[in-house]
Amino acid sequence: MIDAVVTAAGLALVLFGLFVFFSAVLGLYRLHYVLDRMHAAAVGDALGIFCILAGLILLHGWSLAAAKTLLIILFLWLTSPVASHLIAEMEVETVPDIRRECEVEER
Amino acid sequence: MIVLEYILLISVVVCAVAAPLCKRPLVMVIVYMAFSLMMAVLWSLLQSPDLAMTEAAVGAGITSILFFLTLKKIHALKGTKDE
Amino acid sequence: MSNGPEKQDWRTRLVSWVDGDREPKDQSLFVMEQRHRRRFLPTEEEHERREKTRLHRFFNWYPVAAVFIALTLVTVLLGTVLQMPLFGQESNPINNEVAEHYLEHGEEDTGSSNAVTAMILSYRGFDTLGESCVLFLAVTSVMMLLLKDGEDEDGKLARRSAREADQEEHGDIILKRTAWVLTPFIFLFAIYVLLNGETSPGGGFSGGTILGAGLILFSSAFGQRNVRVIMDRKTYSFIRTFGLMLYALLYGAYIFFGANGLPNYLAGMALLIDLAVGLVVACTIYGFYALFSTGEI
Repeated sequence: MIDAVVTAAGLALVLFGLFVFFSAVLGLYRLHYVLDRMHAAAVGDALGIFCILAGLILLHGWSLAAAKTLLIILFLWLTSPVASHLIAEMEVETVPDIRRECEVEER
Repeated sequence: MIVLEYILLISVVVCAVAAPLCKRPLVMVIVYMAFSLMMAVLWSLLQSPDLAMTEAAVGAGITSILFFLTLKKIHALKGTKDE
Repeated sequence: MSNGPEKQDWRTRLVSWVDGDREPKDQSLFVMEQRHRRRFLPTEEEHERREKTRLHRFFNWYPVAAVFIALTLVTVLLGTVLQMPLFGQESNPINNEVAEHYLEHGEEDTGSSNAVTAMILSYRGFDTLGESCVLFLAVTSVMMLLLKDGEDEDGKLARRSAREADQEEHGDIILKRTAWVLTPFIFLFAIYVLLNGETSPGGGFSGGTILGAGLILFSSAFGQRNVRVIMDRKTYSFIRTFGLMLYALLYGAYIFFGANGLPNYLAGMALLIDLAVGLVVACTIYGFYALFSTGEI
């Protein structure tokens, strides 16, 4: 019973992660402005990878590989939002007429 | 696994053809980076993890950083401060 | 004794020639016959027109030449591939006793259970020594080309580079905090990969690359001035040379022991060789980054 529930949860997580990646790719192609596209890509990076790796842990069962996967999730959650943040900051700093597109917080 | 290998092989060929056909140097470097990443996955599928690690670190990481630095030095990046 | 002064003269001339003096001491040897300058320089428009036609001609011929060269290369490479033995045949030259010997006796011969490490560090160690030398020479030549000389122009360059160093520290606090947290773990992973090459995938090249990448992350977040606290140019050169020398020494000892039939006294030698290769590779990668970005180490 518990095995079936865990497997179902893992499958659901993997499928949801795939859906998030699909929407991220769709957003990358369909959205027009750089920051919008970046938002789509960053969602895919953080949420999609977390869902897929957590689903894999659930499907595979607890082992050393699962612990390593947890470390990978930690590393990706630390680094990929920082990368997205830096790209967005670069865009805000270098585009002269950014204010026509969105609000900019002064720092 | 076989299907994944075929997909990766086809994408490697597509990337290799696309890299010299791109117009902008930045896109070229990014396509080359994708090529290196897929080669790394292929190496690990071919059961040579040593090579996969080195390929991922050198091909996708260091080489791209050096290319980006060179592009910045020769002012080939659009929209940076130096331009 | 009569040719004594002549010899002296010859030597000084040779020394001045090696030093690259613009005007040699003995003018009669080196001054070429001077020509009159051509008077009829083309006018500006004429020059532009000529350049344009040349460019036009070049772009007409460029695709043809490119296709020709590419097709020739493809033909040669495909011909070579067709000449190669078929994949997976038993009589192929790679299926001889050498590979079997490496796989079977690798562990007892070299003391490392990872066959790849055993091969590249012990059986084929001379190749790896050559590769390390290539990396060393590459970063040396890049240093000769790109290293800024801090002493000329009355320290103007030094002051400018100090100002640049103030600017180059990244202003973003998120990046700085993340790099501050992550850099020790990246170094730890690099050292793990470096020292664990005997038993698991990894070794000198991959570990050194990860170490260099960690240094690049630290230097791009906190500026090169802060890297210089732990590694200035003298330390950098010392580490680079030390790695190569250590490798050469160890491999020389290895060859000596092996050729004289002595037992292998250095049990953990693959570890030390991995360390040496990793130091060389990490220094090369960080040196490339530092020289490409600011021209200093």
